[in-house]
Amino acid sequence: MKKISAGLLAITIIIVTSNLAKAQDTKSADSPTKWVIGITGGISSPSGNFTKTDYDNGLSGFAGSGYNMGITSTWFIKKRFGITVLASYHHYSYQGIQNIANGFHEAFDVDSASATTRSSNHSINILVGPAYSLPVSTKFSFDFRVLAGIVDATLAGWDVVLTDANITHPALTQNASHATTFGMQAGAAIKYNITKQWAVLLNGDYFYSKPNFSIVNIDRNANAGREITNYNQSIAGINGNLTLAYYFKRK
Amino acid sequence: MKKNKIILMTTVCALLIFWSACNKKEQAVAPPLPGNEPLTTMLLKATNTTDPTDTPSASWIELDPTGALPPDTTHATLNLKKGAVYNVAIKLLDTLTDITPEIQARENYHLFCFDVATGLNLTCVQTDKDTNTPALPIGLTDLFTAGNISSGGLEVTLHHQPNVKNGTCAPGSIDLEAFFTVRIH
Repeated sequence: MKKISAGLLAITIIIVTSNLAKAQDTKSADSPTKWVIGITGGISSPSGNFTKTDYDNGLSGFAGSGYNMGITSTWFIKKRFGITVLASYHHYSYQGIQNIANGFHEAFDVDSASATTRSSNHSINILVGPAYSLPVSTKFSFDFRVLAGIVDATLAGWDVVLTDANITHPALTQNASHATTFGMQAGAAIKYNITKQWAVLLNGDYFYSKPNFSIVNIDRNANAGREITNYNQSIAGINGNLTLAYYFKRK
Repeated sequence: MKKNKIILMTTVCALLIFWSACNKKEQAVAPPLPGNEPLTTMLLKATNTTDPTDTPSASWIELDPTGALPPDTTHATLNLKKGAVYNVAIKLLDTLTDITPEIQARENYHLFCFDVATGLNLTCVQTDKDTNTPALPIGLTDLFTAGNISSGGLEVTLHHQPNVKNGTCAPGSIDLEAFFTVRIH
């Protein structure tokens, strides 16, 4: 694995260095562009406590891999340097709902327990920051960006219905909760210019935010079973995206 | 220009289809577990609060959970002294295993209730409390106050009240129902 990584790195360095000088003279990739707008989408893979599914662990966030999509726009102040704005939506799957059902089944010693998610784990992000484009050939360039801004996140909740001796009891509910916080995203992309006005980018980004959720629980009449009133764990991971970009005012 | 529109529309449609496909509720059910041993025995052990040597007890045994065979009531009579007050401890058995600690651990949704037959001069009050907010009675320990000479039936029921315990006997289901005879001499 290390050998493959080292090989790929070496090839990349060779391509970059050999094309860098040539790229200085090219027009298509390095020509002045005022404004680029793009639609982006791909997979989001979070990590850490947010993805744990242990019923007894209050830090478990029960989030799985998901997707993200958004609109990105870069205004080039200089030839290669610009300001990027990204408005995106991140959605993470809910994993471990069976653990929730099993946990309440055991905690209340009932015949059966049924768990259903409420809302979903997701966030809406408005981020802004510097971007840098490094052309390596007439068609290819490496784009870098570091973004920061506002993240409005939602933590999914659930309803659990307990059934015992043929009696179905009212649902115990953990409401979905919202929190707004600071967030950041940083990454790089390989850009390929399809035409003079269209390009595709293969992005890899690290994202991070740490919202502080206050959780409302409903119909908790007994001190039994999982009950958290606060969740303050980082939502961090990797995005792998494909972006379709459109150039305005390319000369 | 037309080519641009096609590229843009295709991308937007693909994203919308992807988004709608991924937004669904997750659901799971934990089904009943087989082989749950039924409760078979209830023991009442009383201690006179003013005379520690006065320790009457009674047991009610039902080994057949279907109820086809009658329960063993050989030792189901509790003899109390007139005007005496007793601390009573309830013990539950599951064939041979003592289940009392398990009930204690699940105190927040269990409650013992007492139904005293008309004519029997006995009052029963639970003395232990669970950790709910506010704390509610459990009934593993109780205070029995014997009145005038009398005798009659005492029905003791263990109620299972998952997330519906409110201090009354009404919610939930009954895990065990035991019938004793109480004689006040």
